[in-house]
Amino acid sequence: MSAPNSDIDPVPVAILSEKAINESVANALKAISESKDVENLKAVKADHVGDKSSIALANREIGSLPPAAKAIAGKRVAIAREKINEAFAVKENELQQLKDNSILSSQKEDLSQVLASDDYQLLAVGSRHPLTQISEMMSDCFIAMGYEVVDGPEAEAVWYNFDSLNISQSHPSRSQQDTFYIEPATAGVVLRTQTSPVQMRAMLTRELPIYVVAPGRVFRKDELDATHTPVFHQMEGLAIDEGLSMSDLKGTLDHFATAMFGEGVKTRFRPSYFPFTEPSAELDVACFICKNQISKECRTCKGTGWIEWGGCGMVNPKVLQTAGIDTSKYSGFAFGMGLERTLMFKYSISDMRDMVEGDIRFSKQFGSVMR
Amino acid sequence: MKVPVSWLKEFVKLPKDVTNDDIRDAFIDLGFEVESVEVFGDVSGELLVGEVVEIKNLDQFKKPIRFCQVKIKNQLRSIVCGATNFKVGDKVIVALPGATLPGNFVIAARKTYDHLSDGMICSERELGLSDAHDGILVVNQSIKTGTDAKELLGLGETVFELSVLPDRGYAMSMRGVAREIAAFFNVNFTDPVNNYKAIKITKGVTKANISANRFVSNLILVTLDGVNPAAETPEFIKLRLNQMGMRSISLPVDITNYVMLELGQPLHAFDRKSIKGGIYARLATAGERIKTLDGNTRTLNETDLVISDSEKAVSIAGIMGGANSEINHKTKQIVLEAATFNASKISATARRLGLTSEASKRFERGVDFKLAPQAASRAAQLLIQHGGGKIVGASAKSTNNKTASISLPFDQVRQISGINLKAESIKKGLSKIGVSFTQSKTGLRVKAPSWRPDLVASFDYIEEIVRIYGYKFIPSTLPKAVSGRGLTYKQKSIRDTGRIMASLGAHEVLNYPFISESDTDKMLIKQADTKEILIKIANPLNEDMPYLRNSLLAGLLSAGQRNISRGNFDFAIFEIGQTFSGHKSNRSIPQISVESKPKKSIIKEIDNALPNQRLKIAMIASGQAISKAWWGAGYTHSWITATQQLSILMKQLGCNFELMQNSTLPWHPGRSAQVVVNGVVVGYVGEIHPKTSTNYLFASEVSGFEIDLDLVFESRNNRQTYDEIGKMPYASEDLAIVVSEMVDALKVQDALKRAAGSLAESVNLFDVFKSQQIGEGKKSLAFRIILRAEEKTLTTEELKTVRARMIDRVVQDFGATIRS
Repeated sequence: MSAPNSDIDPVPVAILSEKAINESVANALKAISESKDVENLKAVKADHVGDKSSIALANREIGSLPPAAKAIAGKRVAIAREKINEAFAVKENELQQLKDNSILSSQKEDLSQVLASDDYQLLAVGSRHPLTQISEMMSDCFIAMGYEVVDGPEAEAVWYNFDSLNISQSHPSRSQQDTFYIEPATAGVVLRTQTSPVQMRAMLTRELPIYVVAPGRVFRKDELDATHTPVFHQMEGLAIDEGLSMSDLKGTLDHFATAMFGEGVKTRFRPSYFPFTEPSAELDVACFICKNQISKECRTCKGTGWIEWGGCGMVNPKVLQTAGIDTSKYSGFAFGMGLERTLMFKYSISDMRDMVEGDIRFSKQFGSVMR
Repeated sequence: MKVPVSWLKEFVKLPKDVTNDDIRDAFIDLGFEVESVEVFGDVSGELLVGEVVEIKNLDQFKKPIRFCQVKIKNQLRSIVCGATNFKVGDKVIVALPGATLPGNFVIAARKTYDHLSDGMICSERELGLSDAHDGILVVNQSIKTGTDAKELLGLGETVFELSVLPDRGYAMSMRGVAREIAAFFNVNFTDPVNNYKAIKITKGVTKANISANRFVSNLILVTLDGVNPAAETPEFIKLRLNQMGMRSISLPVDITNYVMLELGQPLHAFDRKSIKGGIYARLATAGERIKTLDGNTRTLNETDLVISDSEKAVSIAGIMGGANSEINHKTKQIVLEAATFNASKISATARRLGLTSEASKRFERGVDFKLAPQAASRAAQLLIQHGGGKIVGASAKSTNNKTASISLPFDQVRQISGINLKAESIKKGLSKIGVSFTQSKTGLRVKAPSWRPDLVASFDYIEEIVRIYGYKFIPSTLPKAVSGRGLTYKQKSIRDTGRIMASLGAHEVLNYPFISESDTDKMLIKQADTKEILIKIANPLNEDMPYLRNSLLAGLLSAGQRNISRGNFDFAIFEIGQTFSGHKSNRSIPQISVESKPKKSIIKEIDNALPNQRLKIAMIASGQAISKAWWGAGYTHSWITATQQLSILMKQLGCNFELMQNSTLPWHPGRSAQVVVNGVVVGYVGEIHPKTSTNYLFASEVSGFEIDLDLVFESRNNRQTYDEIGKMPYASEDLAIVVSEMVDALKVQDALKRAAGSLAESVNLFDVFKSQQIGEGKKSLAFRIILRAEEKTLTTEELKTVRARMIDRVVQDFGATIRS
């Protein structure tokens, strides 16, 4: 490449002059700032830094300058380009963001539509029956106290269900009006009327001491109505150890009631009669709805301040003898309560039929997480 | 048992500050449920006895209206009255202006039927005494005018209604409850029995004989003559009977009832003229018939106890008298019977006949075995006092009843109660309820009173000691903690099963285990076809549903239909429950005593004789699994969803299974499969046979599964292991494999997995396709295979090799062709 002859052609290139370059920059910046959108900006970019832009044309002239002038002009053009490009980048970013925002906002959806279709399912959600859940809730209380859960057959020998529990041969509960007998009725098999036979099974097979709870299904010949069902659930507990007393029974049930119904819930014992226990007691819990305030309006306790929860007592020594347990060394206590009843008063359910008819709306309300 | 407070107070001197609420609470603390607290005749203002001195009939009205003059003390009052059941000279109850009758009915002097009525002549109903009749209450002639009727009739008195536990017969009397209340408030109790001398036994006119010695320990007959048949029952007896819910019938009957309520001894009065010869307590003969006082004829059997004369039964012992010897309006000669019958004997007959009475309720719970002589005497005296006549003879047959004494160590009382009771308070508690004792250093020898047959063993006495001391004073302690092992494997598994099912969108239901013959019909199952023998209930609640389920499906299908009928169309419901089936051979429960622990072999024998009881889970689903809505198309529950639910359940439980072609009812012969674990069929999955779902009134297809959980839990793989997750890049290969329709997709998938070996991370069927193009009887199965090596990126060469290996395998195994 021949160097220009400054002597022959000392004429300065006009478009490379500081003034001209500054003017190009100013024009470019003005056009950039006036750009309305990304497309417009692209065109502006082509006009001001593209091949045919004044800057590009000026750049072309640099080659013909004398060395000293070359450096000055080159620097001038480079700075000018950088300025314009920077402005382009800033503006481009700004316009792109505007564009993005406008696209995303145009994608606005009404999320409440999903809630408005509450009963329609896109994802499957099931539930477990509240009786199953309350049974686990109750069992877990006792597991935490070191008890184990035991179970037994629903079709049970009369010996386990009645005889071994000190229920006399003439006891009304044995009648065919009260108890389901498996055919032939003389064969000595019934649908268990209580979970107590499981206690006898535990006593006959387990090592002492025994601390068990037996939740399960039981059967009595009651017609289904709002407060009765021929098939229902109980949970019974049994503890056999050295030195167990009624105060241990009371303490255990106090603890249990607190776990089920909240801190500060009181229990009350009233004398009662059960063949399986002696002494026997009815177990009441102070109404946690009206806070034991004895008001006529409380539907849960019917204004008495107390809710009948179950029965309990010290295991009758006759029963311990049947189980081969040394009554001079061991004593025990037992208790039992209905799960349907517990569920009803804990959650203010008024009709027991809802629990047995299998209407999914019943279980759905509780879902899989029962509080 | 109803308890009027005034009667209670005759035997107990209660402190002045004891309110009716305190008495109610005392009953509750003593173990008597208070079923109601009623105010008997809740009236205020002046109610006085008056004598009707003049009656003028006012004829100009549509109904009979009478204008009466009633004398109260020396004052005459004119009163208009619409009732006609009284006459001049009768004593009636007059409510004076200003009085308020039950129901807030205020009495005022007012003009009615053209006359001034200055008060009201009252009926029982208006006074709140009973609903029995509308006529005016006419009281005993001997009562003076001006007597306060509130006191006379016991108006405004509080009456407690108690439910008495089956072991507390003594509390079926005022004597019994008064003793309890006295013990509670720690005040003196006056035992009314101490005031009555035992009847003096003479040569009986009507002789007592007992031939059923085991069941009758006392039979006392008192014969009276010269009783005035027209004698009226005194007001105080009528009042008490009324307050306690019994009707006044005749003087002799009212007196027997009154003495029963007072002392607890049921009595019976016979018309002596109807009795031939002596009186016998004997067992009935089979088929013997007697018309009881309620007008029904009862047929007895040889286990029932009767009272008879020398010819015929005259009463069902301890339950109800016979119409043939009923007291009538001419009866002057009366035989009073007081007896002690065996409690379970009376209860068995009462239950068998479905006939209970005030007497049977008391005998069932046990009557004081020493009471009959005093009660007979008390009744005879009352009868003579109010009806005249005299005792002409009394005959008795008795066997000696005794209560045994037992030892009661103080330590045992303290240990069982958990209360550190002093010897003094133990003794005090026992004395209050009539227990006698002698003391040694370490305890007592105690003996129950004659009215407490329930006190037999030391624990019975401990209950009484704590009861009288107060259950509310039992401290609250916890036994020292034991080291339980938590839930068993099976218990955990059952919980897991329920949770997995809920996570799969199914709702748990709990159905009754009862099924009907029509259920087996609807399930298209002929009883003879099934390998299982259904268990039948001898006395089902509903005669149509006598069987116990051997499958959970019938219950679920019925519950499903119930949901649809209530508008819940889309659901999956499941149940985990016991099912029942019989044994092929007859097995019987061995006879065992309760005296000692049965041998292990006997325990086993019992279990073996019980029906087979297996835990199963079943699910049915109908309608949409994914709802069709504004978000797009739905997805219907089908054999596909059911199989996936089953598969997830089994995998999560850790149970490997296979599916095999199935044609077992009630399953769809084409769209169902047997679920097989280690070669054993554990259940079924797929679509329910369309006929069955139609039989249960489903309009569209029902799918589901049922498996035996006991079998599944047994064959579960307990040891869960972990496969490292790959972190190197993955490659994806798709293969469309054409095979015969007869080839199971699972087998093809398995072949691909084996061919790819450890490189195969997942192999999934994503498309199934049948067409003319690929050929008759063929199907195209498209699989996506994700490949990943453990420690490097797979090269193209390696991928090619694996692909070729997979293709080779399916070509070889199934004669497959590959679609490109």
